Amino acid sequence: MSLPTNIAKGPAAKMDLAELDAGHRTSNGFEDVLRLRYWQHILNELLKRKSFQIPIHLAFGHEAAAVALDRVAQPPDAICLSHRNVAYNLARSKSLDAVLEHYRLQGPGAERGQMGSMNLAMEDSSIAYTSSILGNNLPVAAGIAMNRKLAARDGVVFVLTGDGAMEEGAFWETLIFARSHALKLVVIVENNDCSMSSTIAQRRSPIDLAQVCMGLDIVYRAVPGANLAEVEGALQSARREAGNGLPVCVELALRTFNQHAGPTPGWPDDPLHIALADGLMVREGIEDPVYNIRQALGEPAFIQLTQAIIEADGSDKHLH
Amino acid sequence: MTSTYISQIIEQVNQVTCNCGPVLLYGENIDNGSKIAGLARGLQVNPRGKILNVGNSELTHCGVGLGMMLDGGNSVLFMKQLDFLLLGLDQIVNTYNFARAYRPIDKLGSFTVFPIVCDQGYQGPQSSLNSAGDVASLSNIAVYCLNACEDAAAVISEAFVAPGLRIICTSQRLFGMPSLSLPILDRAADSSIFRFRAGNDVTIVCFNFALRLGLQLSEQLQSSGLSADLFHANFVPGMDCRMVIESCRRSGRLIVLDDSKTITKYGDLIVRELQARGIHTSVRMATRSGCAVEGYGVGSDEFQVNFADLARFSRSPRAAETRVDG
Repeated sequence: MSLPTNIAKGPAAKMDLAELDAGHRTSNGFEDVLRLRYWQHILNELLKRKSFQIPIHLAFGHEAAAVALDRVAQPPDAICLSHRNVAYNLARSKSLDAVLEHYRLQGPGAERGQMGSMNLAMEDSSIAYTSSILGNNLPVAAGIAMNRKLAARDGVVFVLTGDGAMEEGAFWETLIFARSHALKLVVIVENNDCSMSSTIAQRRSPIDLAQVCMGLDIVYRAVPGANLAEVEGALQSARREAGNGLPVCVELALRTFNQHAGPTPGWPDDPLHIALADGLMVREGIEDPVYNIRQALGEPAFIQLTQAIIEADGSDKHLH
Repeated sequence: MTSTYISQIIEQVNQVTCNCGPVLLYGENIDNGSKIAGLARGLQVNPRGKILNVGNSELTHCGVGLGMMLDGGNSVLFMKQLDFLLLGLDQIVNTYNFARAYRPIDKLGSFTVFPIVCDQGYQGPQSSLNSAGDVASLSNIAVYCLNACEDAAAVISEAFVAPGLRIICTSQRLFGMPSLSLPILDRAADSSIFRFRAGNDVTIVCFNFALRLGLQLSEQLQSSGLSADLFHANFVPGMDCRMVIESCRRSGRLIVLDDSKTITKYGDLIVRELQARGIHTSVRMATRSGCAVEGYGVGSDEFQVNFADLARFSRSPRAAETRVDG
């Protein structure tokens, strides 16, 4: 597999990851976002080859949110995910190979049921629960937070949901329950203006979540979901506020660049034709976390970093 | 003071909740007003536990209990009507499927749903669901119906706070009635089957809240010289029904009493087992056959049993094959 063209066009000088400035690598999380994007490209290429028996809901565009949560969540915290959990599982496990084991139905939990993708909750990742049912994970997250409260145990519970699940009764019930019982809960709404193939305007009236939260006396924060620093900052603040017993709602405006669930029969073709050969970046714009990193680093450093990540990672072995 | 059906159940519950360590007992109006029509009246908890009044959101309450369970905590959701549990079925079915698929049972906490089955009649079409077994079938979890003091004590002491999920139902119709004490003669280890009377002429298996009718029938038969094996069966998927099968082998006659409105009868499992084992038994299903349209309106909702017919059946010749009639 040749390197993506927009990387291959970069400077000839190679850079070993170890030679990169340590602070540059670890303090801003750029490397993690780029690696996560690379891994999703690998999965996407495998999906095109129909390598899996299971559906996989990719999350091109969600990488900054996933890395930000991974950087903010501390060991006592718990995370509850939705069906589109791939970015979070990869970010927490830090292993494409381990996730692929599950996708190939060869996970370590073979003596019990196989996790597949829509219920994937990687081992030792603080991911307590993952649900394929829209809105189902919200009450469960509240239950985990309630248990921590009653047992006087540390930890904030983060639960991922979206603009589709906001329409479910469980969303409202959970916000009310969490506020009523002062639970340490952070509800992260990935607002991608999409529920399967319908935009918000195509299926419902607008919901002003800020006003909703104000009415329920719940802290509300809104940030662009493709900007790693802003998401991380919002989640840090939310974790602190939730730690004081004030549930928090963080709304991330982001774009999901891929189609609903891989090459689904009967589903329209992916209009973007996402391909690793075209480079890590999917869209030239601030909706793409990778674009934002390129803007922050500048073209030469971006190319150096991405090239180093890909060469050190070796995940292209899965495509051979 | 004579104990009632519900007061003896609460006594049994308190014996568990006062000694089980951390546990959350929660529900709508659990510590206010009638305390859930008496379901939580006199409820006590140990110092590490908590009784918590919560708002009106049954779906979330079910999810909260399962979330606590996944995190190793214990909780019991007190619920006014089995009908309300329908709102939480996604959690009961799907969330618990995740838990049992991916988490070892000994790592789970306990979650018990403790509803009242609104079977007293005159409540209307939306407050009369009594098909507890359908919930067991849908979710593939154990659903127990408390009838006599002794089966209630066994189920509550063993299952009220125990790893995993189950539903333990009480009958509103029986709430104010005197408690029924029936010593257990034999039982299945999984609490699916309890035997209360021993006999050789006919086997009576009661489902849901039909045990008192079954007792009445067995006493009528006894007065006419017939002895009956009398069982109460809970809705336990994969139930251990060997005791019932052996009883049918001896008696050759099986009467199933099921006062639930379900059209998918757990009693059919016993018939299927009899057929599979080639045990020739005449079977009389004394059950409701679904609801006629007028049955959905307000009415007594009473389960009618034709005792004379069942007595005739009990004297009938043994069948040459397993046959369901009536």
